[in-house]
Amino acid sequence: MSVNKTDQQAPLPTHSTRFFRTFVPWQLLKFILINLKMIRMIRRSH
Amino acid sequence: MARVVILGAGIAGHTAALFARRRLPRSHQVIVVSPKDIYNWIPSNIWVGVGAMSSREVVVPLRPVYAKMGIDFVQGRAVEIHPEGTGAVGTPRVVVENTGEEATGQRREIGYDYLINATGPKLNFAATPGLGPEGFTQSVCTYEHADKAAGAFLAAVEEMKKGRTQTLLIGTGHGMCTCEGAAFEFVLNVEFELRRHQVRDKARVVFISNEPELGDFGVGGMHFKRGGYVVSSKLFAESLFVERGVEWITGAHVQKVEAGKVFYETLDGENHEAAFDFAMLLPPFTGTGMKALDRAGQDITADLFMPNGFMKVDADYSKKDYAQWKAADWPKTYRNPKYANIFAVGIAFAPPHAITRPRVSAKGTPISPAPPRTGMPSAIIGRVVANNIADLVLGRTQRRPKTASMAALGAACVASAGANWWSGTAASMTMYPIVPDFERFPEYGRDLKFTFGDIGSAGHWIKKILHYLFIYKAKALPMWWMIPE
Repeated sequence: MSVNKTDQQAPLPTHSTRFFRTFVPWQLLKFILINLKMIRMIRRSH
Repeated sequence: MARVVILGAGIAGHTAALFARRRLPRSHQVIVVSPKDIYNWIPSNIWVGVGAMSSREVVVPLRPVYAKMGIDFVQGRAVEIHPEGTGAVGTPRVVVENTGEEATGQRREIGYDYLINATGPKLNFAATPGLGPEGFTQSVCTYEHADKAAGAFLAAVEEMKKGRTQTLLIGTGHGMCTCEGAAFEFVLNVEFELRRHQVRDKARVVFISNEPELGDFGVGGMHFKRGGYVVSSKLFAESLFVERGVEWITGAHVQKVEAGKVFYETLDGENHEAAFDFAMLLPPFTGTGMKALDRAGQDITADLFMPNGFMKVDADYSKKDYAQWKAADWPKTYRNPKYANIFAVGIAFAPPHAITRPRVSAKGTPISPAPPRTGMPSAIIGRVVANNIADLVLGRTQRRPKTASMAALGAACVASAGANWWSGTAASMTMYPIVPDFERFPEYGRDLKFTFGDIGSAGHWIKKILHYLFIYKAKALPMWWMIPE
């Protein structure tokens, strides 16, 4: 099987980036921001 | 009294039926024809396929919903359209083959004033020998398939718990597949579940796709701003895979599948084999194979449908090179050009061309994603077409019909990467428009203000909340119509 195994050009997240992905207070803020962005996009599409 | 007949009760058809009923007084009839009396919220099949959700949670029985709403339901499969009527009867009609428990296979005719074709796709497993649940691979295209996939996946997990290494192959089962996003979600969920079952070290996870590169998703990829740079979805997707130790094969056309082995060709024209213990490979789609006949009984299928079985609508189907593709090629009102009372929504409408630049292998095999038209755009198109038909029925012809071109619609895609409230994450992506418009947005084809990608628990919470909201909406519970598509 010929596969692209671990492409070293792909950027990898730092430890802190990985931590913040599941850090609840930060994600609550993200939750609000992503919803606002999606609502803005949905309003443009409706 | 007008009669609106909707063929199909998937995301597009069910949405169209609910909005048509909401807009039209009860003196007008809305009929839904569907082979199954169950609605499936397909995006959550991903979770069913890894055993993280029960299939009961992704379905809604349609009969009680339609009884409450005043929508007539016929359990059957439309096999013929007679847009000019038949013989002495000059009113348009569809021929439906009964699929219910009683009188299975019996045919009946249903007349219509307006017809919405929302039949979705035929899952064309036959395009690749050995592909599919009847062959050697799994699928998550239906809740039944997802249930079976979960059983096979959990059996592989049990093997790993006994210390045996397993290869899990996930992706697309043909060079012309669509819905690469679903395969992408599934592979990330599989990888997450392997860690949860503490067997990740026993698994080799490989993604195989007809996309020319990761992150294409059948929409030619996308760009978004991150960390002060404009980055491509290719980098975003590759980063997720490298971080999780998922290997990938892109530009692949699966030629055939045997027990534990796939044979595939890549864009460079080389043939390869890959062994697997568990495989979930999506099939390509075609139309459902409905025929169309004129009043004299002559076959006019080519007037209504493209050769791939999808219905012709107000798109520009003239043959063009990629360089000539334009946003204006995409349909706006989804009305058949020959029969003005026939519309097609969701996967059932024939797109004018792909979105991703088409590619063929060095041997001449087409290996290129077909354009996705599921989920959010599918539901928006269903609503817009239903509302336009309601205007026609109610004589509001002075109103300009609403449009829903995929070159003017955005889409939100929340790709789950693990189903857990605290440790699970999802990649939230939005793009505007779905079909790149290089005349309006010369640099990237899309508006970067509305195109973004992010990964984290917040995405998973949104995905989970959307699951409950859309199940609520499908049940037509109070104020259902306030939930946007």
